[in-house]
Amino acid sequence: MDYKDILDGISEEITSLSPEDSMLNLRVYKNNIFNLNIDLFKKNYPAVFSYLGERNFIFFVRKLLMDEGVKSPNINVFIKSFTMFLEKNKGMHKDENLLELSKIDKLWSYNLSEVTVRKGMFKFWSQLIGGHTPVAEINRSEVEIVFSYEVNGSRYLSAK
Amino acid sequence: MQLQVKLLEKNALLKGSQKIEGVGLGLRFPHFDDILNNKTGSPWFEVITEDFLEEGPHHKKLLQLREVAPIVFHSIGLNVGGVQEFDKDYLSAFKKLYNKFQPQYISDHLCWSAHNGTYHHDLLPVPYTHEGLSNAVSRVNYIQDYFSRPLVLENITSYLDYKNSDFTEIEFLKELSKKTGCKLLLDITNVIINHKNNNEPTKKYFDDFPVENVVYCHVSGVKATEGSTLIIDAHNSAYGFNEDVLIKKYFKNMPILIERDANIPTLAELEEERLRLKEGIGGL
Repeated sequence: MDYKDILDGISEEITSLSPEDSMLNLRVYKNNIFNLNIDLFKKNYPAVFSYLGERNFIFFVRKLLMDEGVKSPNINVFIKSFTMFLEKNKGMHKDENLLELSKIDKLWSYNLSEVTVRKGMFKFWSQLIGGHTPVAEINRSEVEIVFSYEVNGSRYLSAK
Repeated sequence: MQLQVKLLEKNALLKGSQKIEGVGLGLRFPHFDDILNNKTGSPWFEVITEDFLEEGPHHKKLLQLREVAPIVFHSIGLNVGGVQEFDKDYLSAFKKLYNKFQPQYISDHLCWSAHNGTYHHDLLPVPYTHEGLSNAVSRVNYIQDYFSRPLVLENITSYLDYKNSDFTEIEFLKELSKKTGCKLLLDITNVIINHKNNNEPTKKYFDDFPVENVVYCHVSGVKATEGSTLIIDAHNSAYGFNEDVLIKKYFKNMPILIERDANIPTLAELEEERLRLKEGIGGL
């Protein structure tokens, strides 16, 4: 078996992400990869995590990993693709809140300048981030722009 | 704002001759402000290259840090042991960072981490065969030519045991170093974990390691993973395998870096660990 064949076999096995089927030692790598992704997505999409709860959140991250795979050495490229993935899979989750929360999370985590969402969504996001049950009313026919700004070296978000 | 950043860059270049020495810390974002406020005596810092691939306020902070302390870059994405083409965008972004921050060293791991277009973002062991060596030599040479400087390679933990190896890990590292001029980063804890997982003593490994090629060492800690019979290199606690005793014996006066990537404590707690290690190895 040549060098590339060895790498082919291992790569294929660990990409399958099904720990129950694998040898103990490959399971270590599968768990590492899976846990790394879950941790990074949780860190960068805190409102989505809070909105979905652990189990549903893991479902979506796993689906993204299985459907798209990580195609860049810069893992942030993959993490940022979550919003696009939720947009693409809108037919499956049918939840506009989920998509817009991910947009605001991404704005916050990746120092972006602004995103457009339905009016009330920023308040909804803020309540989730603050650990409260979101009660903000979402206006389906109007939009707001959520933007980031800096004061004395600290970043803030606001909506207009 | 642009002028301020330009001035910082200029100052950073002036400090480029500083050398790493003593016990340093890995730079982690939760500690950034405390570090800039002098809440650690760490004389140098290791920076994860991938943390800075995205532009942002953290770049300005790193330039500030660079004014007062030497840094090294440590990467996980070069895929030295892989066979797929290098990602040109990644290399170009890496080089830009190198030129901007001028770290003393750039390092990655002796491993493969991507294959057939998929990036695993984990460190997979290289089969120590003649073909593996020839592949690694050619890729290390490519990277060194690209950056016009030696690459530093770190030994990893391995949970795989390849059949039909032509070399031991040390033989492989020695050959690779000899053929490319690359330097080595010895992760002392990784060596201990590999040997503990295989119920082997570490003495021969440390006796045989080509210490003359080592530019600095890593230590980290592991808290046992529930339900696992293997020790996993989790970087989730303070060092705890008497690494200080080994450093005193084999790597005295070598720069040492404490790594922590999970269960990240306060900077004050890390500083305590740093001082404990410093004292343990004889007050470098």
